[in-house]
Amino acid sequence: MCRIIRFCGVTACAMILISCGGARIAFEMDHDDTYLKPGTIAVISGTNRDEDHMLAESISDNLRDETGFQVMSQKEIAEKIPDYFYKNIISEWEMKGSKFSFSPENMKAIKAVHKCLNTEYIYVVWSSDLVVIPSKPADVACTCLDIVVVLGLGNGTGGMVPYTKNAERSISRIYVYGRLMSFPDDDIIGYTADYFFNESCCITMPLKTYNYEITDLLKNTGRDIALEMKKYTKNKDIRKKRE
Amino acid sequence: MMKKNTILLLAGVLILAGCISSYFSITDSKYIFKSDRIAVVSGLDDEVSVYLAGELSRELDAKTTFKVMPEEEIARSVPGYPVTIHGPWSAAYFGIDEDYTRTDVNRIKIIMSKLDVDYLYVLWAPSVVRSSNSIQINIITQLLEIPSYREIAHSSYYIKYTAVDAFSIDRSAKNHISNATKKAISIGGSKNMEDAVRDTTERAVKEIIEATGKGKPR
Repeated sequence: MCRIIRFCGVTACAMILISCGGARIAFEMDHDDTYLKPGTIAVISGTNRDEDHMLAESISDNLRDETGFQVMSQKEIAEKIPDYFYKNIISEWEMKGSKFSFSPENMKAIKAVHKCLNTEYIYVVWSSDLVVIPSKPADVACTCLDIVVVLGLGNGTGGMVPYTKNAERSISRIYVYGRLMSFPDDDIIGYTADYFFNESCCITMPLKTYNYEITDLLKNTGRDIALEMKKYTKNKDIRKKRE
Repeated sequence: MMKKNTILLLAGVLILAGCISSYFSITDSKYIFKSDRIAVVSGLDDEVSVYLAGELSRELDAKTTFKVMPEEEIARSVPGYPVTIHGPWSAAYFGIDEDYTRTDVNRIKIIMSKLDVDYLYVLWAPSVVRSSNSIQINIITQLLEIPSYREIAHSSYYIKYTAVDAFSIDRSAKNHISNATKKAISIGGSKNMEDAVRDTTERAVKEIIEATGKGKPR
């Protein structure tokens, strides 16, 4: 009986992953033969939410570590953009149509940001549908986490997922949007638009524990995006020699 | 079998530990309140935080000898109120990982300097967690002395109530700021939500009275 329950749990998780995963695009550029030239880059959060700022920070850190980009720090960005941590830079959060486009309002906002930062590239990142499906081993009775915990932030995203009982692993998920703009030609040359997942094996814990799931998810997502961007830095100058 | 029971017991204890709340903890036990003039303000610009700050303000006014600045006066004195101020946490998703050093006190000074009070009680509700049958609003507060902006007390707790239809939540990212938070607090039925908020607010004010001795004589 226990095995059947476990099997159902794992199958349900797998189905969720399959249904939500799709073709994963951590970062993609306009053409296969396009590459990122060495230069200055600022990774900015499109919104004032904690998770988007953490994504921006993680992408920045990984780009700095893994590539030869001159990456502007979040602190430096905050010094140049008044109220950076408090304002929503982009106004259109749901992107429709081409992945290489922005609404006129968003484009205007990024151009205004560029005047402050003056970098050769700006990568703007934001997210939605931040969800954790906690693990719940069959043997552990729990009233705090009855079934699924769905995250909805007072000043952030909300979402819901089909739930699974008795799952052995916690799964966290986030949908990330990103646009890479190059200057001075004001072109969108790359994008991110996909779900990112994080899995961890743990027993059911107090709610707070799941904050770490989110933190891990955001850090890993930032690393995935940065590493994918690195693939487009074909120019030897921009790659680290240790590679 | 014995081992299994131990694990179950341990899990239960851990879960309970995660559910314990503190409604008001004075950081300096020898502190003496210099006056009664206080304002309860929201640290975030969303409906949940503003609503809860308002409820706490009214309860403090009714039950304590604090001279509580009315919400309308706060709104008149502080341009653009409510505004977002980064609060005392390192992460605030499913619960709040408290870090009382992370409050953006400089921003509080700039924004709240026009309030003519001696104490500022800032309340944040940075996350709302929805499960299949309940809603939990996570809350964190800080009491600051004016004009030093020194922390006098803090607390972290949550309000939880039954919500039978918690899954019918507006997922639109574009509209969520104004709509989802409203739904989050009312979706369980306005009575459930109001009862839970009233109970928790009363408990919080009771602890404030116990810690400060500023209860109204009956």
